[in-house]
Amino acid sequence: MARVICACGSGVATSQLVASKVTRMLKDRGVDADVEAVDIKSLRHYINGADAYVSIVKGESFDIPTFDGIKFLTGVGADQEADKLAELLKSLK
Amino acid sequence: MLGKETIKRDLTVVDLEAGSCDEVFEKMNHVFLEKGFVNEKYLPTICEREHKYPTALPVEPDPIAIPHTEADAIITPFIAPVRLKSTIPWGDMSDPNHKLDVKLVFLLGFNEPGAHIELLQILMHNFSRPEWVKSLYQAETEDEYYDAVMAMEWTHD
Repeated sequence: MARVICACGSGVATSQLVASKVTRMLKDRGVDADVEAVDIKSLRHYINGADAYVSIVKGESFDIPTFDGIKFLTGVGADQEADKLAELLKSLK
Repeated sequence: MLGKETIKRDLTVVDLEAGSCDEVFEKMNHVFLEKGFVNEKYLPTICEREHKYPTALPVEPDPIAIPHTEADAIITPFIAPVRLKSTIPWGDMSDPNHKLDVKLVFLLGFNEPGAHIELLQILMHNFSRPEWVKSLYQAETEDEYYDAVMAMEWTHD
């Protein structure tokens, strides 16, 4: 299954919220993915082998496709971002 | 699962005077400590976290801050709805170098991973409803403010 990582400062409040929204929006688009919420300090560890990174806090960038978590969080532009993410994950199969 | 009762009338403050987010935390820390919602870890950890990972959300129509800290600083879960007397610059969650002018603050105290997700989604849903946000500005007293907050749509997208 495709793996998507969401990260925020604590891995508790914001990234979990974004992860649950990403999971739901992907499901609506016919994609089952394993979406994990992590704290930014352990991001480097979790990012290995992930297919996409949903970034909430600007910071280190990684060599995998990265999506804008704030769009999922606020809902502004979330549909377009989910479309792009779904398209990417479908293309992996 | 945390419900609407997590939003506390006795932690509701209107026209809080503060010149910085640290000052908001200092003032609210007194209230939280006194009422037994947090322990002594709250103030130092929330200040540190907010500087590292700011929490003002670039939502429309107005930015809203949702400061929160580590679970072990929280004794009883809460949401404290606070309206500042005047806006202060608050770090943007998406870009710590960018500041947003914030007047509405929801201080979140959560100590159990997962329990608050739906509640946060409901908050986010309402943060982007102009008519609800407008009602927060129109409230004149803390009772009215609390009622306006509690009149949020109990649903999410």
